Amino acid sequence: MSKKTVIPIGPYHPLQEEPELFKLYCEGEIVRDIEWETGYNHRGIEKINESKTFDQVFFVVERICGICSTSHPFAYANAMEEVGRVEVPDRAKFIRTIIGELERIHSHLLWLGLAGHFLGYNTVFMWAWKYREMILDIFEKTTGNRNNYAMFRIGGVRRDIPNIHISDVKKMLDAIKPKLNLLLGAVMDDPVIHARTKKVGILTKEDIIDYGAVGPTARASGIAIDVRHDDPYAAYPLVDWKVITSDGCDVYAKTEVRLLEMLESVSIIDQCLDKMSHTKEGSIYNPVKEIPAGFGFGRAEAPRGEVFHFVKTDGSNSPARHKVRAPSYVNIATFKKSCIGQTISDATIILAAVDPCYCCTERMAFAYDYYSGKQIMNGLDLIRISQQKTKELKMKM
Amino acid sequence: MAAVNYEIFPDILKLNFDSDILGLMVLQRKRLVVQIRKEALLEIANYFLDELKYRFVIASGMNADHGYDIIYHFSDDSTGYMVNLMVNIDEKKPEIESMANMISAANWIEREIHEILGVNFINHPNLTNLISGENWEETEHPYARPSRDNKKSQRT
Repeated sequence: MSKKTVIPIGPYHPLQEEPELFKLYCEGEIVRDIEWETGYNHRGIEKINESKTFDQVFFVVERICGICSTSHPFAYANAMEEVGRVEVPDRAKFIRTIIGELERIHSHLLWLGLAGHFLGYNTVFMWAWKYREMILDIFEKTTGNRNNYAMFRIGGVRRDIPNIHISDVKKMLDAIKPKLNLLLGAVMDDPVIHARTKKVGILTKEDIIDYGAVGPTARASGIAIDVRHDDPYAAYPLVDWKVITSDGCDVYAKTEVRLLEMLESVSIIDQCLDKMSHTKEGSIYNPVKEIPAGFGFGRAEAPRGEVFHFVKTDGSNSPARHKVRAPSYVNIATFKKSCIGQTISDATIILAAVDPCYCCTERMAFAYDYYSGKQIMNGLDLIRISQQKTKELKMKM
Repeated sequence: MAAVNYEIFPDILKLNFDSDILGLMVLQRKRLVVQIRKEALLEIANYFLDELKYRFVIASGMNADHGYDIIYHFSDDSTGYMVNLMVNIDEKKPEIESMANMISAANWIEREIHEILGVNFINHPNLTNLISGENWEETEHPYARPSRDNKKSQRT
């Protein structure tokens, strides 16, 4: 019988530094099975929301995730507007879309930086995070906040982007385009990145359908699902853009999809700014007096995929039931397919390729020998062996 | 994928599963809620997943007047149409057939609903706690509310 080793990754995740526990069952270098545990940061938000008013829920769901802090209010607003049959003014639609797309760019840049770091490309990490600051500056200019923007309300948005700011925002956006192209070139032309990410962590179309995966994870396997296109909301039907897909099915394809999506987002924001300037300033929401009893099914395309909010109302001023499904809930499940048969040094980048999004607590993980119980490696060691592999590849090339 | 005319879609559904459908609600923006008998869940879910190639989005479990309601959300990504299958589960016998063997995406949400509401999913491959781990009583279900006519189920 061959010797099996269990390597727990997390609850302190080696890549995202967030709580989630993966147990890799390995034979030598090869991962044979994987188990997943969650709930380390379960905050009972669905239950809390039942005791909040409809307006207060926005501030709670905004804090579900720090990186995609607008996608949850977006989906919740869509759900509530469906129940209440509320129309949103055009200007608010454009502002919502701009905020949503800015968030996509900064989230993808954050992911790219981390992925680069764990492959041993610290320059990519430095660049990506440096240019992410430019996006955060735009957020600061337009919303007053860098992270939780508090822009959404039922029937529209809370704050306007005045027309006099549009040219400034456009200038800032123009400055970021060459930087994104630079990153695109740096990643796409590098033979070592190709060697580390191509044909690694394959997810076939069948796997995606079986696990119900969404977002760039699905689009990198050739499945063109994107809520912005399939079930259009906000200003997405009013601008020209295309859904980015790739048939690679591997980690490289996921990187490619995210990089190209950022450029697409810049174009969407550009068009929204132009069209917004022709709408009436200050007309940013329609007042809502009451929400009738009913069901609302709200969806929005977060950077990681479809966010789904289900709200059941009973005629009162708070939800009777509020169900939240973040994209990572279905995407993380695909690890069962993508990790098995791969080496331990590739496991970190495969787990990261899905851009899993947990929330923040801190715990420490060690790998123990399955039989002796002796500690053999911890989270940092896993990063080290991943970086070591890249180094060796570089020397060979 | 067969193109479906959503004007007549509720009628097609009635034609196929008449005896299993207890109620139909057509909401705005391409949303349909179908109340079905819980025994027919797998057959109707299979019709959507296999024949119409819908995507399983998630399931939402909630307290109802007598027992629990579970809504299974399905999405047709070519049109953005959402079909929501709603089943009522009796409080005295809170169990329903698991969908996890048909589609892996249902695996964890069924574990979660089992954990928070106490609904038993028959034939589920691994019906253990998902979020609260091992340090939570198997009989404690944090989201379950006692129904008005059954004081026995009252939980502290």
